[in-house]
Formats: sequence, structure tokens, C-alpha cells
Amino acid sequence: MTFVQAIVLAVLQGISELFPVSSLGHTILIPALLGWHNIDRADPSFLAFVVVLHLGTAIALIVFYRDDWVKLGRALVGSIARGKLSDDVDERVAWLLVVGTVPVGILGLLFKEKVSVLFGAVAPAAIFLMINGLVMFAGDWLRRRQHAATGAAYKPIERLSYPQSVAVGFGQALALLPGISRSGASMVVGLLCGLDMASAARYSFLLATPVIFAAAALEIPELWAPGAHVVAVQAIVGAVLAGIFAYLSVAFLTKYFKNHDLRPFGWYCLLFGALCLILAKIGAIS
Amino acid sequence: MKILALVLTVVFVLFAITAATGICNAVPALGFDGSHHIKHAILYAVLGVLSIVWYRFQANASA
Repeated sequence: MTFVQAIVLAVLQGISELFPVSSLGHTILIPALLGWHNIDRADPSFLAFVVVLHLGTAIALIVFYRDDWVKLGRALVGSIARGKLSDDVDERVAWLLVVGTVPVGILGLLFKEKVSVLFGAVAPAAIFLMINGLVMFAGDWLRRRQHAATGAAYKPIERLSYPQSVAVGFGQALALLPGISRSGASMVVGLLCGLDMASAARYSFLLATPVIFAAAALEIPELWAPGAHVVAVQAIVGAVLAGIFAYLSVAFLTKYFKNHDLRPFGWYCLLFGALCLILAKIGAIS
Repeated sequence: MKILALVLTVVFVLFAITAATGICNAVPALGFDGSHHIKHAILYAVLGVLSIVWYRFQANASA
């Protein structure tokens, strides 16, 4: 992997991890489009580099939501120490996040590698990216229909039930499929559970933070795996860039989703996925 | 629910021990495929801790 490739992949990771467009799908499709056949996704050094990028992204998310995490952490520890749940909003949100993290933790550990072996090629990633676009359109349409039919006000995050939080967690677990966006899927489920767009986005980013961090932390031993000769400069620059772009992305998206919905990302996923699928079918990329 | 929390605690702790020691590699349905057993052990240990916390909440709620 060249230095330029490392920089492009780091920026791509930082942006696409938070935008609802699937980072995993893009790390398959973009190198294929650019003809980077020297990148072996199964190579220990590439896996180690990806771990570093994810750590950068996770740290950026923690920094962006640092005040929330301090409050949520205190509330969580307080409730455990008391041995009782209270009506505190932060405590409620903290436990919703814990419960919502369980599905992706289990499914990720059990199926991540099997899924990446089965679907880690250009054509499946392109197809899943198109499906991701359709899911965003469907989610947005269902939310509008549900809201128009019931006329009920959107609820804040703390009004989610625990089963609903588990459902959002299962939505997030769909991102194990390359092309399905973690944030997109969890936002759609959040919308269908009655959250407004801004709250669904915020909950999605909060829910993604421990998952991205834990997934990266569990892979840290890969950094010392045989053959994992990560170039230190590439790794450090990559992590910093991934973190900066992740921070900028989440700052942009939290503002964007106050007044906009998922449809532009749905169009992007449909069109980009279709383009990649056509190119793969005619043999232009592989 | 208290009983369920207790059962889950015991089950997850047993899974964590078997995953950590690698004595249950022949049960792929539980994720014990012979590799990544430490990650599975960590996952089951975390689930065990959450189950204990849940049990404590249930016990205090009924007290």
C-alpha cells in the first residue's frame, strides 16, 4: 500500500463510517474503481491498518460526544452502584445504548468473518449498496406514512423502549453486510420506532461509538500479527486523518439531519451501487 | 425475570470459561470454531456481567 493509497483510504473511512453510505462497501468499491489491485484485504498489514483507522474514527466520535459520554458514564455507574434504575434521562439513555449494543456484539463476533468471505467482492457490495439506498427510501417513506396516519409527536431517545433499542441494534448489525450502512440502517429503525431524524441520527452515532471502538480494540492484537508490518507513519497519519474526517462528518451530519432526511444518501447509494454493478458485470472492475 | 437473569448469568459465565479455556471448540454453533476464542470469551464475560447487573436490578426491584 502506497502512502497516497493510505491517505485516501483513511479519508474514505473517516467519512463513510458516519455518512449512511457503508464504509465497508466503499473500502471494497473505491479501490476496485481505482484499480488498486495491490491492496489485499486479507493481508495482515492491511487488516492492522484498518484497525488503526477504526480506532481514529472511534476516538473522534468519543471526542465529539465527550460531554454526553461523561454524563452517560456517570449515570450508568451510578445506577449499577445503587442497584436500581431511576427516572434519570441519562441513565435511561445509557442503558438503552447498552441493550442496543448487545445484538451487534453477538452477531458481529459470530458472523463477521463468514459474511466478509461470502460477500466481500465488488458485485455483492454494489448490490447491497443499492439495497441500502432502497432501505433509506423505504424507511423515510414509512416514517412519513406512520407519522401522517397516527399524528403522534416524535419521541425523544429516552422514550424508546428496550425492545426498540434492541431492534435498532439489530438494524446496526445489518452493516456486517458490505454495502449496508451501520448508521443508515440504525437510523431507519430509529425512525420507525418514532424518533425524529435528528434524534435517530444522534442515537445512531452514540450507538456506533462503543461498537466501533470495541471492534477495533479487539483487533489490536492484529497489529502484532506475523506479517502485519504497518508502516508507522502511514498508520499515524491514517488514524489522525480518519479521526479528523470522522469528526467533521459527524459535526456536519448532526446539523444536516435537523432539517434534512436520508433521501439524498439513498439516491447516492442507488446510483453509485448501480454504476459499480454495471462496471463489474462488463468486467471493467473486479 | 429474576430467575431468567440468574440462569443467563450462569450460562454466559460457563460459555466464557469454556471459550477462554478452548475446551468447547467442537461447538461451532456457539462460535467456538477453534479461533478467536479469547474474543468470544470476552463477549460472553461481558454478557455475564450484564446479566448479573440485570439480576441485581430485578432483586432490588422486588425487595
